[in-house]
Amino acid sequence: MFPVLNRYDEVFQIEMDGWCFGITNYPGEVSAQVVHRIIRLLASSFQTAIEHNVVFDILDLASKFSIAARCLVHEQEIAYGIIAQLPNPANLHEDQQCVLGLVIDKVEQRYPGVLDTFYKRWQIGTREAA
Amino acid sequence: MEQNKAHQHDHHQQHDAAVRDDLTWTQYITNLAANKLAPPKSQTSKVLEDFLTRLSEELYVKGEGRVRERIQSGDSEAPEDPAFQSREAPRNGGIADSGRVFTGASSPGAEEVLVRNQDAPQLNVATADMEDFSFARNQEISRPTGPVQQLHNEIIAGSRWVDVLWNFIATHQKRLIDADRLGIEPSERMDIQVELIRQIAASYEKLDMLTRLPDSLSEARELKVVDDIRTMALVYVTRSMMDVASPSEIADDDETNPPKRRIIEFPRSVISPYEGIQPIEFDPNELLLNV
Repeated sequence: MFPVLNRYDEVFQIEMDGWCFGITNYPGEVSAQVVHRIIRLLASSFQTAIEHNVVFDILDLASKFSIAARCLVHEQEIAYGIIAQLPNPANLHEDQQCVLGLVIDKVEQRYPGVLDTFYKRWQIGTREAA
Repeated sequence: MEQNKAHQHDHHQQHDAAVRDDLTWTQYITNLAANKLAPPKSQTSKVLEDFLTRLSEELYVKGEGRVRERIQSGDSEAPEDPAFQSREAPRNGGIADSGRVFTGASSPGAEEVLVRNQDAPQLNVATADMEDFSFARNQEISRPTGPVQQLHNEIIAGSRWVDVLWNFIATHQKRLIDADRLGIEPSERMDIQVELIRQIAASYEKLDMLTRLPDSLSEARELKVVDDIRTMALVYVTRSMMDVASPSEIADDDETNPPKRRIIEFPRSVISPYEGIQPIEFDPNELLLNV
């Protein structure tokens, strides 16, 4: 296991809890589009977490977001949304790639085939970048 | 019996009005548009063209002094401060009294684009960088070119002009709605943009040209919701940090005791998407109570 840098796991936890708090307590209607927009906004946080060796639990996070959004969006959909925001492994260092692998592995165990899906996507991204 | 019916009718009308007031403007506009989903009128293009032509002729690009001079000399009701801003939104699709929606106090290097529209429904007064508008540089009124011409063309071509305007605003957001210079807090920004779209939609309705659903309105509302949620998330984060250590505990920290204060940086995505904006001072406890 790689040591977490700068205690970023705490930062990450607070940030995610904060967003869940915001979604839960928002007085108006929270649509699925809003939830997905928020997930997209969190792309930089996911990347930073991986760069700080934080192996966060996507399934747990997806479940929290789903509950916060009154189960309007299924947690599997949120989990896929989160993975879609993860950085391309080609742009990460070797250690960070391992962290990313650990992060995705939990989802792969629950939803087999996730890795293949996103691996293709990342390959395309790498090809396009080249 | 008749009286009873009339009374019921009045009651229904009052109820409808109350419901209408309760609706958010987006819902109202959406319902309105849904009820008016009729094929575009044959004269629509011509009306739009006339409207845009008149609007184009009333576009001026001047420096701050010129704008002020024109406002003062041309309109006795205009305030001296060019940063005048009307927030009085028309309810129920009405038209705001003022013909101005946005303007800003110019800073050096910036130019004002003043859209004056006295007879036609109001549109906006906005700020923009001179480089974006190549027309009327020498205090002459000429046909618009560049983005304005493109906007003009797209509208005449029959695009949903609410969408076109929204895209235009989004593309040139920094220039059109210079919230920094107006001293507008970040949380208010989306309100203002929504207000602008709302007034445009109101103008549109007035011209009886609201024939299709303005999709961009829902996006504006969606962004506003996300902004509100972000603010609440920030409140939570602030609160969490306050829970970590009180100011007195932080003050008591010394080398002999282990530090009680955790070093937690605000995650970037939580702080604010608007860089360079001064943070709003607020009491998290009060905000949390209001949540």
